[in-house]
Amino acid sequence: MAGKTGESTRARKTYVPWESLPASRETIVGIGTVLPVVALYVLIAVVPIAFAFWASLHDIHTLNPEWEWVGLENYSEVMEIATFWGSLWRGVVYMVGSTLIQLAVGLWMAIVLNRITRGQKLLTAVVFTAYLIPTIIVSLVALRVFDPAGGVFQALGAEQFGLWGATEAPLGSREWAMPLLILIGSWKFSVFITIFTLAQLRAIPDRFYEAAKVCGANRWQMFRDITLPRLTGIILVVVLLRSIFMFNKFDIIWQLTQGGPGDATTTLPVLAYKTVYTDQAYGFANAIAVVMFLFLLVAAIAYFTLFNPSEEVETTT
Amino acid sequence: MPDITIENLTKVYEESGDEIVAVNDVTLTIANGEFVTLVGPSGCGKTTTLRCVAGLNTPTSGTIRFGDRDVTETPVQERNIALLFQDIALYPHMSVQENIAYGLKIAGFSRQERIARVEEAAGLLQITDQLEKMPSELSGGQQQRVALGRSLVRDPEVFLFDEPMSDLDAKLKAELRPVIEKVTDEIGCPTLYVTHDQEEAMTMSDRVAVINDGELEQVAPPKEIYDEPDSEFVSRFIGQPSTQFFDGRIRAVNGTGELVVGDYEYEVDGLGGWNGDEVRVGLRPQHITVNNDTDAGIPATHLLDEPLGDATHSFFETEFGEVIVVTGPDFEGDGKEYGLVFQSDSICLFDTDSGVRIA
Amino acid sequence: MSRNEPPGGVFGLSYDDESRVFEALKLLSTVIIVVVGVWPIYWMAQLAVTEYETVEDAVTVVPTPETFTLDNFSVLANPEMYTYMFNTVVVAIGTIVTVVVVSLIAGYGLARLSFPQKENFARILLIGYLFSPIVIGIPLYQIWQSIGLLGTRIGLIIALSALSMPFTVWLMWKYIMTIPEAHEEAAWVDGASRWRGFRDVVVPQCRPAIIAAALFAFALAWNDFTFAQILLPSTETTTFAPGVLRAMSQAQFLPDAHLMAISLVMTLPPLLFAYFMQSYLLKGFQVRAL
Repeated sequence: MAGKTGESTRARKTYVPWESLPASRETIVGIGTVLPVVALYVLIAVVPIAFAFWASLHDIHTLNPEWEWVGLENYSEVMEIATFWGSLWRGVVYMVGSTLIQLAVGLWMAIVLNRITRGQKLLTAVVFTAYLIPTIIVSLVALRVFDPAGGVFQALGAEQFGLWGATEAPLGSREWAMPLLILIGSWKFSVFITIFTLAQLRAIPDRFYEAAKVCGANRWQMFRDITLPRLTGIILVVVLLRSIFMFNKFDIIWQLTQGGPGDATTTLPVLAYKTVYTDQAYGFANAIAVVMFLFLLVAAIAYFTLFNPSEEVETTT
Repeated sequence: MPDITIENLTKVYEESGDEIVAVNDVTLTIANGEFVTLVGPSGCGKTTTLRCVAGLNTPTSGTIRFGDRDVTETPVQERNIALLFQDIALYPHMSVQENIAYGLKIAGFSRQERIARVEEAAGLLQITDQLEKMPSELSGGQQQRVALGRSLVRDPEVFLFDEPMSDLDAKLKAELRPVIEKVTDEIGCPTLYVTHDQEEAMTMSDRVAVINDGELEQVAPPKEIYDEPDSEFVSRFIGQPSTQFFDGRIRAVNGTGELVVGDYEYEVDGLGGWNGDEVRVGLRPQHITVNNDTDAGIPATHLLDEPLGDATHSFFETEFGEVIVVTGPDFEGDGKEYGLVFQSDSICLFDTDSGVRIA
Repeated sequence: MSRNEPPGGVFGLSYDDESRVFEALKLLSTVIIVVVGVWPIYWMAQLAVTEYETVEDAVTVVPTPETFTLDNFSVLANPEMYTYMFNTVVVAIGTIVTVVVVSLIAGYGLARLSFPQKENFARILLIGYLFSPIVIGIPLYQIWQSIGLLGTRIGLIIALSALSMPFTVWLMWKYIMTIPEAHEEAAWVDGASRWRGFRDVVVPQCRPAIIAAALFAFALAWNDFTFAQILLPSTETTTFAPGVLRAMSQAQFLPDAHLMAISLVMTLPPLLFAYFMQSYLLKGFQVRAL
């Protein structure tokens, strides 16, 4: 048979014995491509969280390698102490306040940036810079302008509006620390929402608006019927992300107030950090970290079931 | 250069648990230097067949040989083929020059050799002045010429086309067809050309292979496919406007058969031994004539004319439904009554169930 | 539309009036964005070029000839500050390279190859968004210590790269899906291996996605405070953010004007990126990457 002669002349260069492997070549190469990501995840997520859980079952002094098994005692203690619930509450206030302001400002900036004609590139660059600037620099500028000694906002607030005393540091006041933290963070992080919504706005074809104009739609109707539906998916996603990020936020709070005054701005991440380094209770801090992670996981799953943002994103393409 | 042999090629896809037979037991040989067109409606398995020959898909069963070499399992890189894609697929980040030379670069040709070969191909394709441009700056026709150049310089063993002109307008198609023929002649290897456009199939091919639902219906030279279709499907698919079909019956008369369509009788050769059988009657619109006398043929009411300049397509309403007739360039029906006369020697008869040609 | 209906614009205005109101609102919005967006950067810049004694206890708006100085930038020569900045640059570059390479390869695999559990893998990646530097950092401190990565820049690069993955892998995956497969198949027909096709045809076309991923990684690394604070505990080898904060608390001679000068320098790279790369960035982010 002709097929047999063909068989014998088949020349194949094989360096890897693909044929004798238990899976197809494509499967092996495919898994190979994601292995680095898996490795990073295992190293940075699976191992630490497993480690944190294991450590949370022990009483550990931060600087002392002695581990003493205490079972779930750390957890029952976490649930009992007032600072935990207080920090959780402050964290939720910080998260909700920040996310709402950022959503409103971010959306507004995206819409304006999408519509202006002159200086669009420069202004977009300046706005984007706010997101790219290191948090520490935002904090340094904020510390400077709210400093009672020569800080321009401190002076304005004291002299023009009488919000605080002439020598009072607003970031050190129980009344003003939290609102100022929310506002300062929003200056930087609103841009996150702007970037994503602006990218979506740019992707809406003009012909939709032209068709709406032909139908006699006004600007508000065009926004409501064309722009907003196209943005819903991405808004649901960025709101979720911003909420998670703000709930996890540690850097800007630590830099500006270190959780103070007292514990007026101590959220859960700050509490966990202070527990490690101030209270030297490493096991207990890990229990807080595990609780935080579980809390976020439950909240995120609930959010996904309620809104299913990924589906929105898929279908609005 | 070798010929292509496709033997009992079958490709089955699995989609969410269901098995879909895309290509079913196709056997086809393309001789060296021959231009064979695989034509059929969309989703008929023609592209799958071509991708199996190219090595982009692996057949479920069957063999593909280039000459004596069994390439069924050979990766596409080692088949030494050229392939023109439906969406042209020029590398958008490379200039025309780099696009054409990429295969040579992979094969390890020197820079000078590459430039020389690109120049030569560009000359043949009349794109010498486009070499420095990026693909996005070219028109659709020019892009297709570049894609041809990419194939030309590599001197392939097998030339494959996957509906390369489906996105071009009619005028450009007509312009490119001779270019494609020139290039395939130049290379002189077996060519498999896939298209859904029967006009392309008819104009360029040495042989046309009509495929439907994953199965080959007929493989024959264009003229034969047109005049002597093997099946109702081939007859309907090839030719413009499409073959007109009627329901008929065969009556035995004096040892031979007579075709009866409604109240009308036609003498058709080769109907001996048939009697009382229902048949499908196929007749090309070119083989129907229009008589001013309604009694001369099937009475028909004129509906509308589509003048094309060299001929007119006229639509009539008859007792058998709407019938299209190719009439002379000056014909104007004006909605009047006519009689349609069938040229009985051009009638084809098909089995009502299988669609296979009877006579 | 029938004639007796009210004008169709917002608030019953005619379309022309509506446009005028809209233009006015747009102008007002632009002014607010410029003022609020630019002001802190301007303030930082003007403080950076004002004599530090003046900055310490008086409000200045514009540097006058008497108070203008470039001496504040001498802080860049401070060996500690120089080390912090150098470390930040090394960590940023390391993170960008790791993120781009790893996510390109993984994105290609997700887009072009079929393997079991692919979709679930992609979904599990999204859990990465939940990782808080503080939640990961606290256990990681001990883990890094036991395997000797504590206090190394590599350790920080690994941590920051992992944090970028959920976003960048999805970005690459979805972006590569938009590149026609025929481009790659054409390369294979030309004789290119899968790897060669990936390198010569896919990667060059991924430029917007690569730049978007690189910027994302850059923002993360340039911004990072928490991981560096925990994983680079020693003052000498840390990055800019924790370094500056520690220097401030150690009550050295570190006037605010000097801080503003160094901050201004650290702000320039992001500003330049944002200006020159924004079109790529927006193109990359247009892909449904989440």
